[in-house]
Amino acid sequence: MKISEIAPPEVGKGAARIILTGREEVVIEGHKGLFSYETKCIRIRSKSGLVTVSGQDLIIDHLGVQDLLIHGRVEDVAVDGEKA
Amino acid sequence: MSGQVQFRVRGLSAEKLLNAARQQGISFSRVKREKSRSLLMRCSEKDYEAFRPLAQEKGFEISEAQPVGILRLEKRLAKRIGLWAGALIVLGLLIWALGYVWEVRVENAGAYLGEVRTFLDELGIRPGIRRSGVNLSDLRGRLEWRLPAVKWVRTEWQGVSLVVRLEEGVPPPEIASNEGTGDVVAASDGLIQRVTTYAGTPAVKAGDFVKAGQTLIRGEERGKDGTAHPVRARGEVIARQWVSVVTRVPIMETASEPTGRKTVLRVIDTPFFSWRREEEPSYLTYDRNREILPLGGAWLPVWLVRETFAEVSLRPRSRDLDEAKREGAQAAIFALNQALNNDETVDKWMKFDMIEGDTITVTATAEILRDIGRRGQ
Repeated sequence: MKISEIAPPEVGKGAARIILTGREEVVIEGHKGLFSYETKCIRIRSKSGLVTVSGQDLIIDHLGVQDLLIHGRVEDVAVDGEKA
Repeated sequence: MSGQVQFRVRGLSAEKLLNAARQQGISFSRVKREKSRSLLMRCSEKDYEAFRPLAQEKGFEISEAQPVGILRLEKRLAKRIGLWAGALIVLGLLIWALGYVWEVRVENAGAYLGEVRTFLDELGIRPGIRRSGVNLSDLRGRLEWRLPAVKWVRTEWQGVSLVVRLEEGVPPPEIASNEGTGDVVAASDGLIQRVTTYAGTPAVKAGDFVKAGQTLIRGEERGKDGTAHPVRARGEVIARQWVSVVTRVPIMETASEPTGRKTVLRVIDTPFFSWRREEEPSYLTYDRNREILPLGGAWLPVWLVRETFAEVSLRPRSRDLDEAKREGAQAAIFALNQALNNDETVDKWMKFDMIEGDTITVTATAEILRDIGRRGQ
């Protein structure tokens, strides 16, 4: 069985999947590492480019090998400078 | 599952360190920026063991891991053997104490309260006995046998309390029926005051004196043609009656006077045994005062009982006559009110008599108006 048979197409290609829930939580699946972390801005590397999460009181609630969960007051999410 | 630890990492570009750790399969949680060069974070205890040398190798300063959550609690508790031992002892004592009856409560017993308490005492059911020695259904059966007037008995446990609840039987109300035939007869003697007939033919009139059982309203009516046909007699027959109660009050009483001799006994009392040092005094008559002081608090059934025996001498003396009369009058009025049962009262009076010089008899009488009619057979 191939991964394309059981998962969405973007997973097989290694693209990052960004899920924004309300204005409090951002999940990034398939990230490639942390680029920078400040309480007002977190930058994450991904195959799609640099994901920038801006807001207030941002904390990284989970930093795993594949996925990353950010909590805080999220104001903006952008990929390579373009709004996601 | 290993617990979580919290620690602090200081140094420039801690992000690079986290990425290097990520490549080794280390996960973090609650990563929080404190200062420009400091991050506070958590990871599993196992990951911390792998992360610490990595951070030190790359020139970062890493603090000691502090257990958090369950792990923190576990580590704290592991250091406190005394706490564990104490908790186990308390738990053991609690389980042991729960095996005993701490209170016997009798509810809704009314006039049977004393009898129920005596009966329970006869069966040996009192605070301090083992709970396993009480069979609730057997106790219920015995109480129902002992108290036939009681409708039902409920016996149950409420924590460490044995609760016995009684429900007295209520006789069914007399249901008025217009069916069938029959007379209204006098339930008791009386002087007829007025007769109101709803059905039937009145057999008495105001001013008549009737005896119990005498017909008051006959169960028959006459038609226009003069023929009589049977009916169920109904009506209200108000009669004047006199109700008397008698109370007796002795005018002699026994007074006790302390002789001055006194003995104090101290007893350590538990549900299993009592321990005392002194013997009870051999006074013929004495006043006894008992104080109970719980020693074991709420969990341990141990009491210190302090009994004071004060020797007294008894001698008869006369009471104040007016006071005895007042007491007798109060008792008579109370008994009369109980006997009247909400009847309309016309007049009340009291009579005092002396019997053989040592007893006052008080007769309280009430003149009342009462419906004396009842259905005849």
